Amino acid sequence: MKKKILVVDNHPVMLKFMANLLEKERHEVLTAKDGVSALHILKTYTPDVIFVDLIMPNINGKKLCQIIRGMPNLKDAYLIVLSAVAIEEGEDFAEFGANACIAKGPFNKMAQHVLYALDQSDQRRSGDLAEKTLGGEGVYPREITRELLSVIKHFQVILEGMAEGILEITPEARIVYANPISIALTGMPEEKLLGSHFIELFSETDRQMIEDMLKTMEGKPQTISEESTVNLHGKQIVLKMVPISRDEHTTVVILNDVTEKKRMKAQLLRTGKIEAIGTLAGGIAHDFNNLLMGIQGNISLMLLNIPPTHPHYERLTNIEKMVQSGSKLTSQLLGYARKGKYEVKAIDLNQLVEETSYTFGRTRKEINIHRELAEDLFPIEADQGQIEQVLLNLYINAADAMSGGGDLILKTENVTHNRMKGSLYDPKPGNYVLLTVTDTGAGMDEETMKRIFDPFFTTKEMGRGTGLGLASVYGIIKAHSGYIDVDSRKGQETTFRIYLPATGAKRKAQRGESEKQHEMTRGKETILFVDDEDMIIDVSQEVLKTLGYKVLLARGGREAVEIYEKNKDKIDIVILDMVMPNMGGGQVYDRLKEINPNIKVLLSSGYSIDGQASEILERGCNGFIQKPFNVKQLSESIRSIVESA
Amino acid sequence: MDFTKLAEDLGLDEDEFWELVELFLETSASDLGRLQSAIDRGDIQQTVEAVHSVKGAAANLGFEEIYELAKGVEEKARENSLDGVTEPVRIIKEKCDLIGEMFRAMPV
Ligand SMILES: Nc1ncnc2c1ncn2[C@@H]1O[C@H](COP(=O)(O)OP(=O)(O)OP(=O)(O)O)[C@@H](O)[C@H]1O
Repeated sequence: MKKKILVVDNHPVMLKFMANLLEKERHEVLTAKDGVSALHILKTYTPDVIFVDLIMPNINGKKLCQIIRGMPNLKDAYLIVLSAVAIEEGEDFAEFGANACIAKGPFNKMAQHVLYALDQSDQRRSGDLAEKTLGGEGVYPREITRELLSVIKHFQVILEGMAEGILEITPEARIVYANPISIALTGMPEEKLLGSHFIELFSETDRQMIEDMLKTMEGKPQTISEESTVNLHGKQIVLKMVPISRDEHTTVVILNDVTEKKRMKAQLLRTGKIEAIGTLAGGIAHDFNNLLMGIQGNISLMLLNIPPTHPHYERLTNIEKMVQSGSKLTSQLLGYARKGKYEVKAIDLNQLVEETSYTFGRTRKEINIHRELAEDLFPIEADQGQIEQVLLNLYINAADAMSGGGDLILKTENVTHNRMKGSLYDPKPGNYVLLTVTDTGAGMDEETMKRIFDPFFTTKEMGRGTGLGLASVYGIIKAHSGYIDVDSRKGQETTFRIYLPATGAKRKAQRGESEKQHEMTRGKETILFVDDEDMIIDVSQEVLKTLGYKVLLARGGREAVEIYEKNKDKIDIVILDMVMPNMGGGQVYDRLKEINPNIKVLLSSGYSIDGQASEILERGCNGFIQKPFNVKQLSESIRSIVESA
Repeated sequence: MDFTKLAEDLGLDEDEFWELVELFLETSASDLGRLQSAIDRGDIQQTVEAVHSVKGAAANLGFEEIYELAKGVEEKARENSLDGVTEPVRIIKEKCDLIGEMFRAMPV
């Protein structure tokens, strides 16, 4: 019976012999000199019998057999391996799908075996694999040693285990080897991938570049870098093409998927930008607070000197209120700049959530607030005022997104750092309290979501939103060593997740005392007032004098130390600015403390407390007051320090 | 070497035999060139591949001496050594040249 036959062998002598032999028997024969051409032929030709040489460059016989067996139209083809290697290695050729194996040897013997095998192919029942090894008896004793094979296997294991995709291509850019990763990266089954054109894997736009690089290699490796990645199956890929100098016929291509890495980089860049703007914002807020301080001081002085019946009295108190609003604004900026961490103590987040949401609910009746608060929630170490600010900002945003009413779901739970898996940040291990704030509002698109933490980013109409709400939320959470992320889609719910580290402290979480009523109390002690800004010195001096204090002034750190050294017996308390050129508040404090270990110092700053200020407080400094302060706040702070033992 | 007998032993008619010999000479010439430069470079892997190709075809065509020599070189190389392979390679070339001469002397 006439058969359609394909012979694959890399030796021309073998191909010629087989073709002659089989044609004499009136079969239809095609030959291929390697796996790539074989796969090419098999696209249009469906043979009944295929002879495959086991050891070939590029795609070896074993691989080729496996691929052929995977092709639906060839599953009944009779596969005959030509080699002594299968016998040598003790390898079962049936394992890779062959029906028979013929040992290579003198042509007369081989001719017998080939014809016998063809005969067998007629008689076998379909699906019956692995009949016989023919001619295995000693034509080629120990032809290829185990050593050689084991070296090859060794490399095989390495290639298959690599994290990079590895492809080997011919000078015509046909793929002849693909490791598992590269198969995954291309998203193509191996039998399709092998033999296909390398350049055609990529999109039109990238092809020219890759082709040019392959052409201009001249024996040197070429790289497509992370800056100009190519697109492969929806992934961003870095390519390295290495010519194998040993034989100028092949090129090894190393593929690296950098999609995730690039995404992370972009995010980090964004985080860096937020940080930089934060520093800038903090600086502006600081200067602004000093200005407000000057205004506040002048008003305080005027108010001290006129009776409430004075025609200007009401206007002045109005201005004072506006200064307070201004200072709230800067405190938001400072929160964003993370300079605002102050008065940290163990607090119960549940209690805060309950109180704030209750108050908030009364102002927005169209919103249903649901609370799912965990029992036994870990306490957190935090500044109560700032966390309240965070909560309110989130509530307000949620409510704004639900103009027609909706649900606001507040949830707290105890979690560990494991819950943040897969996020950009690398959380410190430990217990966290997770607060989720979900609303059923308008949601937002990708673009908006990317920018919501940027200061001054707002989608609200002019005059309605400052764009500082979430920026300060971000700053505050960071300052508390916490993490924040958001999940949303246009037209769907929005969920903010905030992780705050649980405190290890056993002490019961307590609620902060409500703000004390500041009393304007007079005194007659002597105060050394240290600040580098004339405007502040002027008004503060006036204010302090009006309150009854005797005031010494220093316009810088060094001067402060000098004056204190001379007058240490007279001076009862020092009011010390944190941020000064040359010698800053911290240094000055240490020098003063050396002169008098029992010195009483009130720190003041246009920044609210930051790491530096809290350090000084930890070293024994007695208090902190944030500019702009009014007369009441100042007198109260002074009294509480002076009167403490 | 008695080529007529060789062809007979292989079950080939003479035309076919000479056709295969011609192919063998062509392929071996390039294999041997590759082999020599691999040996000069000390490239074991290439040496094995090139000499393996010569050896296989020699066995097919019953060129026993070439087969044995090539086998020796291949085994040596597989033990990671190229010591003393120059001589057998030279002899292989000589034998091939001889076959070439006989081929060209053939009455066409
Ligand atoms: N829950 C939410 N649902 C939908 N969009 C939101 C939500 N929260 C914030 N956004 C979007 O993020 C933007 C920035 O919010 P952010 O709080 O920083 O400023 P704002 O609310 O616009 O101004 P302000 O803080 O002065 O009220 C908002 O303008 C809005 O587009």
